[in-house]
Amino acid sequence: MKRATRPQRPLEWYRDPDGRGFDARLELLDRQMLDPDDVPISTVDDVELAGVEIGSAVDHDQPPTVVALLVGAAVLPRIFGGHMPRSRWDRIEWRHVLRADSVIHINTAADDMDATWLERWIRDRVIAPIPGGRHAPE
Amino acid sequence: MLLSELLDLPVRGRDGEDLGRVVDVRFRRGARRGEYEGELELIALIVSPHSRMSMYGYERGRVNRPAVIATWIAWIHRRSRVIPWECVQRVDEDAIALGVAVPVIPLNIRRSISDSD
Repeated sequence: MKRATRPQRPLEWYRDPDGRGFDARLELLDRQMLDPDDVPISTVDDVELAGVEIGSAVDHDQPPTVVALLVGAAVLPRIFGGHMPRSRWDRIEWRHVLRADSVIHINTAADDMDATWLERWIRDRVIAPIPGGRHAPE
Repeated sequence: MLLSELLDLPVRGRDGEDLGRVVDVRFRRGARRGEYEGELELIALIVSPHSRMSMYGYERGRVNRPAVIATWIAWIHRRSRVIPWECVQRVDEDAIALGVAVPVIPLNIRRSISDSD
């Protein structure tokens, strides 16, 4: 296990890491995710990190990395505080991300994802039975 | 752990002094894996001593219009700094503890690193 050390790189590097800096709140949280057909999946509500755990010393052998984007009912904790239980989040693993720029492109169809089950359920069980609910407005 | 558990946590220096709160987390985008995005490695925390508010994109010092808003955001986040991840010793539920004395790296790129507080 490697303990905390003084910065290992030139200090300027932390402000601009080889032009590859990526700030989570600015460039990842709340970004729209699209499937390969540009169908909206959801927005990024939270991010799961591997390589660091709460309540333990940080091991600097490897830097923490993003392993998954999380989708869930993020509005309530933002208003009332606290955290959603882990079981309430739907995960989209980072290895499925094709490109992260102004939107996040995912390689899986939105209809095949657990993250969109609520939207599909409402479409099929609530909207579809309404007369005219199965086609676009004329 | 979740990113939201890291955001807003207070950061304490080696001697227990309060350095501010985590307002953002900086990753480094790794090389692309074929058609897929590369790994995001956590390299630093962005810590503001005065506010938990978002910086609305003004933090890099490259955006400065409208001047009134830019000045206001710069003021509420004055002395915001970048703390390299390798200086972090421990992450607890209520605070992040640094294990070494950390040089001041101003977040605002218009301020040189030798400018200390």
